[in-house]
Amino acid sequence: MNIIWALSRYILPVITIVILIKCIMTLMLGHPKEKIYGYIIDMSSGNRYPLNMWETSVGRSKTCDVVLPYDTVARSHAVITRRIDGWYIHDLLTKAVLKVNGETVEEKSLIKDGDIITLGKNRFRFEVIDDPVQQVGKKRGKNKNTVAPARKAPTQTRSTAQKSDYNHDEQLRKRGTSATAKSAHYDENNKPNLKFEKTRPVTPPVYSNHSNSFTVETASRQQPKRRSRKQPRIVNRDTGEVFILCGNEVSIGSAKKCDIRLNTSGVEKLHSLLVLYEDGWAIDKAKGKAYLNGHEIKSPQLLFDGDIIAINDERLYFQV
Amino acid sequence: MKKNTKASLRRDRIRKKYKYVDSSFILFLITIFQIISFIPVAFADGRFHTESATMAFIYVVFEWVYIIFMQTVVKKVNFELELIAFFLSGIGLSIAESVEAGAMKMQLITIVLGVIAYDVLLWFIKDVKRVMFLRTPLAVFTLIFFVGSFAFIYLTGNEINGAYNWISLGPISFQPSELVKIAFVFVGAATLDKMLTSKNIYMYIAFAMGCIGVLFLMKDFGTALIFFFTFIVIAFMRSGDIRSIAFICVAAVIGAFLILYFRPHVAARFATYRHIWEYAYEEGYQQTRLLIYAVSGGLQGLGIGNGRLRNVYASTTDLVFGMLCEELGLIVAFAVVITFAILVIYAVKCAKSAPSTFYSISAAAAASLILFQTCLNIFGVTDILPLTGVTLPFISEGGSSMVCCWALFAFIKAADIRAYPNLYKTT
Repeated sequence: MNIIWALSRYILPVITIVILIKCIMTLMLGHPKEKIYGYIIDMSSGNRYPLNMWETSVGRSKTCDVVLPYDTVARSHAVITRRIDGWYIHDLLTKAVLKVNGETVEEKSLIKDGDIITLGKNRFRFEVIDDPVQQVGKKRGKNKNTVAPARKAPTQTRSTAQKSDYNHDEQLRKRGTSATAKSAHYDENNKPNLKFEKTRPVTPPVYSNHSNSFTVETASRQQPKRRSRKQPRIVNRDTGEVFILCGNEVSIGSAKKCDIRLNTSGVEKLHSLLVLYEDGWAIDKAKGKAYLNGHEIKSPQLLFDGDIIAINDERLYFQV
Repeated sequence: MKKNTKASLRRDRIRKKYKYVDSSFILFLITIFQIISFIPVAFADGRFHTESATMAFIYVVFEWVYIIFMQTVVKKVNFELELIAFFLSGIGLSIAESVEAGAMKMQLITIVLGVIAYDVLLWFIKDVKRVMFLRTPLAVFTLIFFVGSFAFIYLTGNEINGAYNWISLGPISFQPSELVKIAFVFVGAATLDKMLTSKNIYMYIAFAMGCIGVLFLMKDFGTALIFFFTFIVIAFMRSGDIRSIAFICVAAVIGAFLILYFRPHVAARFATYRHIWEYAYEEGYQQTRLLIYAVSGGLQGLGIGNGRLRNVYASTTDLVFGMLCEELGLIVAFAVVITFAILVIYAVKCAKSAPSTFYSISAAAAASLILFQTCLNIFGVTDILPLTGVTLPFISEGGSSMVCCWALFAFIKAADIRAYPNLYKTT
């Protein structure tokens, strides 16, 4: 016993130090990196204020996260919050004006990419880089760490008339980019991600400022709009819900298990399927009738940016 | 350029390696530590104590089952805080059992209760909407409970060491102020949109003053000081205004001097402060013995069960830091102190990327509360600060203190975005 105890006098301090060092290293090094989730862009000056926290205070006071040097903006005017179901703007019960797309915010309001926020007499555009909306389809992947093989493209592609309207490359050229990798590939977290390479420099639009009246210069309109790189998503036109597409399959229907749930009558439990192929996302019918840009879907159809999927009264936009 | 690339690659490798804690290896080390420290407890007085050995075995198994269950079933990814808490609680268990046979059983029950409180609170604060909805009712309930507790203790005349801070209900006794600590942090934190409204600020000031006022009535000045310090941290986190904080501190110091001037009996309680050697056989007995015996432990300690401080009153509660120094040595004792300091740094680091201001404020408040309590305990028994009789988190014997410490850890954990891997993207 004495020998054990004599040894333990040396072993215990050593073990304590090792535990402490291991815990410190894991506590300090294992954090996700800070990143910018979005911007609010001053439409008069063109200044971009990054939103790099989940909750950001906006106002004239220096203690605010985003300081706006305007007399019509209150000291603490509003708070922009990033929640798991979307972005919100909260009114801090000040007398100053707070509007989203021209509508006064009573307590809080859901905001989306491109919305115009009016603070006092100043207008700001809200731009999202990282959407907090829960990624549908993620729950379907049983093993998230393994790289799932991409499927082959559907044999029967879209008709020529549709192709001419929604040519993928043409849309990318309009945007000032060209696709270097058309097919979706998987990153570490098994999320599809389309990569683009800029072919010509993109300059931000120039705005003129004439005492709180903001008009976009004609010359600047000719410049291509700067857009953030996004993951493929489905946007419900009526409700404004955004569903980020990831995984291999995303189901649409009225059943609770469906990734994109539509509650309107006439929607089948498993109405349609969005499937990831080598060439990108495609829509396939399951049990119900669905239309792609006005044409009934009878076989798998590849989706391009701006496509409209109609299921009964629901209109879903596909965006890349 | 090449050097930078190499350095960044190395950094990335380290980041990748330590992205998630290697919990099984650390738990293995903790288990070895606990087995070594429990052996002298089980074989005390030259005979085998079955009950002590059984309790130690149950504790070790409980740790492993908890971590494995959380990792495989609940799918949690990091366990640094839980492991630290288990490690510290294990030290406390062995010290308590070595001094008083049978103390481990009650302490083990309180650890299990603490773990339950930790997980329930962690689940509860997952949804900030739910938290904000229940803040006001909780504040009202806490004040009623606290005032009611004081009235009950005062009317039953349960005065212990000159303070009315213990409720005794048959065999169970607890400190209501320990439970109020959890509510104090909970109510103090808020989401940014609620926090910036003036109504919210006034409500919290009223709540904090109410709690601290009751503690003064209870004559529990040590806990009142902890609450005040936590209030300062929360106020700073909420406003970010140094001048306001300085103003509050100056006002508090003036108030303290006024109390000492007009209430001499309060000052009498601190008569031995900085004069313990003059009262070495009276009021300063505990502290002088602690200083002598702590030094005799040296760097490696005398071994559990071989110290002499264990014969002094409150050796497993207020004086437990002295026990650590004497029986486990200065290295282990300082490692414990550093752990508490690291928690504050960790909380601040987490606060930057926390999904809500509620998590940022509550984590910083909880971590600083634990650190301040540690400082009051250690500096109190070593006569650097007045002795206030507060416990050393996780290590001191005491049920309500243990449950409170585990619950406070939930606030720190919640600020880490990895605490809810199913809810937030961590990449």
